[in-house]
Amino acid sequence: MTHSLDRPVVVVNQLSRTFDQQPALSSVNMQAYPGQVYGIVGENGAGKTTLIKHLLGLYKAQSGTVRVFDKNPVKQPEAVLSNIGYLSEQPDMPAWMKISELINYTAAFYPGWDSSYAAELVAMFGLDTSLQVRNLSKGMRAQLGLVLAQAHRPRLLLLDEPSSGLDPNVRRDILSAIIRTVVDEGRSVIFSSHLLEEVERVSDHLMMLRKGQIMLSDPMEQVLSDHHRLTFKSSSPPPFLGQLDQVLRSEALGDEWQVDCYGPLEALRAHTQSAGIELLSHHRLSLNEIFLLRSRSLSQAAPSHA
Amino acid sequence: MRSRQIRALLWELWARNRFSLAATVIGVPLLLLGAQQIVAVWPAFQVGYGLIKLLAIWSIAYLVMIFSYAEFSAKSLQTGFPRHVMKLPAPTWLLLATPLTVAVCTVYSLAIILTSLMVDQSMSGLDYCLFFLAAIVAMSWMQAINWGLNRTPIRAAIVVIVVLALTGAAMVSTLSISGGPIMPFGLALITLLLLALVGVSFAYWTLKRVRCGQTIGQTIFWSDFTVPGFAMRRLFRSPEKAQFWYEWRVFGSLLPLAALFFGALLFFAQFLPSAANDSINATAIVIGMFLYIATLAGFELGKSHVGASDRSMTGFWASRPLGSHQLAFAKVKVAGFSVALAWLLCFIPLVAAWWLTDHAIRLNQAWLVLRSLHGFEGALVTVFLAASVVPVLAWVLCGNSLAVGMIGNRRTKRTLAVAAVATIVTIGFAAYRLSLIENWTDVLLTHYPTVFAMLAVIVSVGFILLLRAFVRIAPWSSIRSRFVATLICAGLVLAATSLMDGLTHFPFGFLSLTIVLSLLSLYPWLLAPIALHNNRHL
Repeated sequence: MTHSLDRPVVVVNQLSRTFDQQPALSSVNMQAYPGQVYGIVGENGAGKTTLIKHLLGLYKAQSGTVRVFDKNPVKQPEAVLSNIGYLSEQPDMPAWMKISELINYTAAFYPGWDSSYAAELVAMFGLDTSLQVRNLSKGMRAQLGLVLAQAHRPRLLLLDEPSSGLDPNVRRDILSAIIRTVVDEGRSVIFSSHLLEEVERVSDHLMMLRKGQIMLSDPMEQVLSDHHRLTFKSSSPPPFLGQLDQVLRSEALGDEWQVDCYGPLEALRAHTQSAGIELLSHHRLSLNEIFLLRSRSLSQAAPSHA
Repeated sequence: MRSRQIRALLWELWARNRFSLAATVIGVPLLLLGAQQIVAVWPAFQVGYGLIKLLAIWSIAYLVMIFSYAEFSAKSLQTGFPRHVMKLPAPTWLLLATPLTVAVCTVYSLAIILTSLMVDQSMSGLDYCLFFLAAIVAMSWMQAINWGLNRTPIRAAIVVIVVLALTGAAMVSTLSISGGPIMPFGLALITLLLLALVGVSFAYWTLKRVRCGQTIGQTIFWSDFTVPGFAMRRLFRSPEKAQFWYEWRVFGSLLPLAALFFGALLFFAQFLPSAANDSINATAIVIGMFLYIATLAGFELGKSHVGASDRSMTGFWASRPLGSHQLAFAKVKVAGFSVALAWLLCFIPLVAAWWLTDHAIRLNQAWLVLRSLHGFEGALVTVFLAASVVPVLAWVLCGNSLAVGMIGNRRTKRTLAVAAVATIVTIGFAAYRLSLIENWTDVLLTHYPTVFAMLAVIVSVGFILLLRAFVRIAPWSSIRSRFVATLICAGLVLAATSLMDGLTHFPFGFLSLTIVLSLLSLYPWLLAPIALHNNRHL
């Protein structure tokens, strides 16, 4: 997917943030385009929510810039927030309201509120609108949060750990369906999650955060196609390892040598052939494996920050 | 086994409240004792001593609140019995009896100590028993309310008013140190005993039900009020109206309910057989308490949720697609309506007592005392002052504390600490200066124009600075109409007061007072959006 003709919906440039002198985000750059699903993954405390709160304008950039729809969300919250649908990990909706009241209340803020779409979503989730929010389960709250975030058909849907309260079926079927619908309509989704399979399934672009730093930010297709696990017939480290840009792990397994690395497969094959080493097997890594490898390699590279 | 559990529960009670407990149980009697010594050598301190007596009475109520501790649940947005205690493998009676016994003993001891310090008469044996019963009533009902009956403020208010009125009437009728009986002695005693018994049973029942995951409120009271669909459409015609509805539903009843309570107190006070001066003093104390509660309600209004200690903004509130000034204005408007309604609820019972019955002798006597002191015109001005300046002051206090409460946890504490230090220093300095003159009334009459003139300058500078900060986050047009409306309201109220004879006798002072109060009444419209903006975009 190319976006050269589209103006980015979100532009984050060299964003840094500290809390009590602890870095939460360090020089983060990001560009999200219309029709794109932007997945942000990372461990707890990686900075996912902090980044999303910057996009909402709930945090002011200490250094760097944040532009959403080409506007500063801190200076123009009204213009930015009216085009955003936001669902947080723990939706802090007013517990005393009934679902019907909450829907009516929220509708008042969005001129583009689509009542029939809201009703459709409510029916899809099977929510009883006469119930009070305090009597809803965690999953039902997440579903209601999704209805409220979606029903005004926002240009940008921000989902911060949306599936933490949803059961696997709902997660798989409904969340994916909603995200795809949003994107098919040319709108954008930025969502954070620690459920990597989910991110792998729906995202077009992946950003991997660790301790506020970007470990990886590439199109999902590229991330999956360029991470490899190669097994060589060799009792010593292959000589071309030093020439590879990103070797994430290399390990001896008897008289074989296993290497996890990032890069175009053709270049790796060329290296193998020129070194005259037999390539026994090759397979692509899953996002789960990539995440673990990258986290581990970063810890080893910078033990003082681990 | 039980003794270990009791020790653990007692330790928790102490550890959780050690500073407040120490300050209340040890600090307040010492303060009172110290104030008595100061008055003995320096009679001019009588006014300060009066305030400390007020603080002493308030400290008993504070102690009751400390012991009826309830935990705030972020999920249900309600307070209730601490969840971690509920999960302990201890019987319900023990969970109730431990805090209740300690609380009753502590409240009782403090009440006895303070009463013996403040009242010259010696108490009889029966008085001690009555105090003990009153302590049980206060603690058990407050615990029952905080642990399960508080599902809506209306329910809690009804229970508080009924229990307080009955306890007050019974105590006045039976204590040897009180003014005189309201009901027959036997009936009063039975009422107290019954209230204590029902209170303890209620506290136990509430806890038992809450521990099983059931609520007691809906079984005996009506369920929550819901806005009908047609009204909702009308209410939600614009985002601002929707936000106002939200704030009103969450916070709107806080101050009016407190005022209802004070109004009831004022109403009953008119029928107590006591000296007319006592009635005037009681009214002054109630007005003082009203202003104090208005300030506290302002801080509550500044929060996202009622009862939560957290002053940071929730995502739900902060991500509303409204400008910071629009979000803040919804709260400020609610504060304005709350103050107006609360003042009416306080004022109407007084007028009702005056008009509806001949037995409101206190009010009539107070009016006669006022007339004899200041003449007809002066008495009328005093009444006008109370009726007009008090709501303006309440609005100033409520609105500005709302704004301070909105600036976030750490900053609020810092601001309050600075304000407290500044107030103490100012009062100390004023006390030092004024002590050179014997009569406080003379001081006020001779020096207040200068004081208010200085205040007017300070407030004006602050106003200009705030206005500059405001226009950086919102257009001036967004506030123009609100400014005009507030100014007209404050101006009319103050003009009604000052025109009577203020402008004739003290034109400069009244003009300065009008400027100060008018500007301060405009402050919340500027301060609240600035505070909210800073708390919203951290």
